[in-house]
Formats: sequence, structure tokens, C-alpha cells
Amino acid sequence: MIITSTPLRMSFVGGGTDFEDFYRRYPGRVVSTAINKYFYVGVNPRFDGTIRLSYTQTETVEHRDQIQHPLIKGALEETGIEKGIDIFSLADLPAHRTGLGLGASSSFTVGLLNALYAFLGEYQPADVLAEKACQIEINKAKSPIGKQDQYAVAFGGLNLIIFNCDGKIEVEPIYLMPKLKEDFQKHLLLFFTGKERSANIILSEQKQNIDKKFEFLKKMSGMALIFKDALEKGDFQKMAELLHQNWLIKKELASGISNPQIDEMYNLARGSGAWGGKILGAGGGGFLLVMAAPENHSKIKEALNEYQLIPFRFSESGSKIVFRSE
Amino acid sequence: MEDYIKKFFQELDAQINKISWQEIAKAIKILQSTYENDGRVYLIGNGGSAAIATHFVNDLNKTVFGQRGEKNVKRFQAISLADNTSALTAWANDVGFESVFSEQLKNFAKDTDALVAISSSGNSPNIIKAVETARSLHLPAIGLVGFDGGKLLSLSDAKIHIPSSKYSIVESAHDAICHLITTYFEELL
Repeated sequence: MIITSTPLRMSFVGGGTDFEDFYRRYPGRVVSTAINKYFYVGVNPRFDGTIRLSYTQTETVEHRDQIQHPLIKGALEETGIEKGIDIFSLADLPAHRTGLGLGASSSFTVGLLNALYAFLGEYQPADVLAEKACQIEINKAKSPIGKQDQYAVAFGGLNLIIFNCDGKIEVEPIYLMPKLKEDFQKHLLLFFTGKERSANIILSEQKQNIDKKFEFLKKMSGMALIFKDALEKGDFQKMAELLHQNWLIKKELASGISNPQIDEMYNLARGSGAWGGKILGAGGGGFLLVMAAPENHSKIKEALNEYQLIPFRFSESGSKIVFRSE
Repeated sequence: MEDYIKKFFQELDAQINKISWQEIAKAIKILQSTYENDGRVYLIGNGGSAAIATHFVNDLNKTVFGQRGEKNVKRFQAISLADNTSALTAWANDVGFESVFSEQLKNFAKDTDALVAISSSGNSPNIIKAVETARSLHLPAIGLVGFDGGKLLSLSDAKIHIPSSKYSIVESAHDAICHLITTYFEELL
């Protein structure tokens, strides 16, 4: 049996610039961090040669071709495994629900690939796992997503991820002093909106709008660099202002990104002293990230007390095999 | 006498100023990730470097958490493979000195672990063999090297290089770097 652990990720600025349609014309940039919430994927040889999958549903099939789950089917095709395997998964957050905004589907795909290669006695480094996960999610399963999540979760840590016009993707770690890192975390609050949503509908619209929104996205790509600079200087107010601007721009990218409930949550937080924030991921639901001076946190928590507060820490770990037995 | 003393520190200072901060940051990231995954950190070195390895083990395991000894905080799990005389002499006597670290590594290594290799020349056969073993098991390796960096420089994921040809300077700098990393985790964890 092999079990992998792969972090979820929190994206601060630049989401949307990781679509190939954009970065082939202008370099995309994203600042994001892995957090200490993980997706665990386990694989084991199946005694009777069939395939059994356990996620929100279970599937027991004779051969790979009969599998319903598009990402598992894609990963088995990619690794050349046809049958004789048990696969299960679980996560620290309800990550099987679509559209949490924490990169869960990529975390699952990268973690599954890592486990499947180990199952075959092989090893692939983080960049290969990320790129293969992109192939599976974007090309095979036709998810209308970009490439930031796969790289963020395969590598782990806090990074500036650069999507170059020639297709090359670079993960540049942002190294912070202990106190700065701690201070940064102390300014952040994460709330669950309680909403499920289909990220894919929003992202499809966003993808179709790339031409129209090209200038917006160029601005967001530049903001990633300004955000990194402000972070290294410890200018949290400026970072929050950038999150706020990023969120205002993002809302323009597709119609479902915000809604009256999210706007109300966000306005409540701002009214209670938050400097800025954003809905994580594609929008429309999932998690609201708020940035505020620590002394205002209790007021913000009170204003948003009907929503679940999720404690978290940044994580340096990328996708990792955490258990292996013969 | 004053000049003699000052010259040593000037030389040390000049070497310390050449250190790539990014490589130290990379080493910190590897150690932190290992800690988060409940992995072990193995340290290896010969002679003075073995002493640095032992010292660093103590700092990671105890000093980082020393002030909060009674609290139930997750700790580093660092092990020096240079400290077990019977294991060292058994492998050296029966197989050869170049196997003393790599063979011990095979007893313990898991996917979540990391290796710290300390070698001034960067070419000690037992160090190189252990790093090659670590690489074959896909463990990340942090190399603390001196001189021209030797083979260890190219084999390491985090390459901490003091390009001096004097053991005294290289080892003093290595010790300082270990203390820097200790201080970082004392503040962070």
C-alpha cells in the first residue's frame, strides 16, 4: 500500500493568467501558497484483479475503460495501469465537493499520480507530476482550468509561479523570515461560504472571455509582482489593497464569480475593519479569504459568525509519499 | 598577534559573505517540509564534519524546542549516522569504509526523510556513496561543502558552498550556517 499527501493551495493574486490562451500571448504570474490541509490518496494491489475506487462514490469495475471518474481514468491511462488496483482518497476539508477554491481537484490528481508511479516502483519529480496532472485535467478531462493549481500543490510552499509565453512554467519560492511569515499568517482569516458551486461553468465563461478581458489579465499578472514586493517588505495593508483590487477585477471576468451573499459577506468584513480579501478559486462560492490587522479580527469574526472559520497554516510540503509498505 | 587574529576573522568574514542566501533558504525549506511530514533528517560527515553533524543534530532536536521542553510540540527527528561506533566499525570492517553511511541509511530511509551531508572536500567516498543512495531513494539532499565543492556540490539539492581551501575556514562557516538554521526554526516553530 502507498499513501500520498498533497496540500491544498491558497491563491492570492494572478488567477486567470494561468490559462494557456492568455500566457501564450503575455506572461502569466500567480502568487500562491500551500496550506496545511491535505488530500490523501491511497493505492493498493486489488486481490481479484478488478478495480475498486472509493471517493464520494464507489466504483467496482473489471477494466479501466469502464471507470466513470474522469481524473482517475485519466491518471490510470497516463501511467498505463489497466486493472488490479484499489484506490481511495480522503481530505482534511470537504475537498471532494467541487469548487472549494483551494485547488482540490489538482491536489487529488497530483497525489494520485504520485501514488500510481510509486505503485509501479517509479518516481517522478514535482514538475513532471504537475505537468502530467495538467494533461489529465485540461486535455483529457476537459476541465476549463489553468495550470497554477497543479504546480502549487506539487511543489508546496509559498511561490511566485510564472507562466511563460513559450509554455515553460517556473516555480520561484518566496522565502520569508520567520517573523514576517508569522505576521502574514496572523493577518489572514479564512471563512467557508457554505456554498457549493460549479467552478467549471464560471471558468468556461472566463475562458471564453479571455480576449475581452486581456487587458484586465495583463494588469493582474503585473499585480502578482507588486504583491510579492509588498509581501517581502511586510506591507500588509498594501497587499490587502491589491487583493481587493484583484477581487474587483476578477468579478468583471465572468458573471457568476460573485453573488449577493458573497458581496454581503465581503462588505460585512470590510465594514468590520478588513482591508481586503477575495473569494478563493474560480468564485461563486467556496472560501472567502480576508486580510485585516490582527486587532480587528475579533470584530470581523463576530460580523461573520454564521460562517465557519477555518484555522490554517502555510505549508512547505509538496506532494509526498507518507506511507509505503510491501 | 593582533594582525594574525584579525586576518583569520577577515578571511572567515569574506567567505561567509560569499554564501548564497537562496541555497540556505532552500535548505530550510527542505528541513521544514521534512518536519511537516514527520520525516527524519539524517546527518553525515567525517572528522570535524562528523562533530558538526552531531552538534547540528543536538540543535535541531533540542535547542529549537528547548525553551518549550514541557509543551507537547512536534519535534525534529534528526539522527547523526556518524555517532554509532559499532555500526560504523561493522560496515567498515566487513564491507569497506565507503559504505558506513550508505548502509546505515538503507536501514532507516523513508520517502518523507532528508539527508544533510557535510564534507569540506565534497569528495569523501563514504559521503558521496550515501548521497547517491539517498538520491536513488528520492530523498532530498542538503550539501555543506568547501574547497571546489567536489562531487557533493553537483549531487545536492541545496548547495551550500564555502569556496575556501582551508578546513578551519570551511568548518567554521559550516558551523555558523547550522546555527543560523537553528535560530530560524527556534523563531518559526
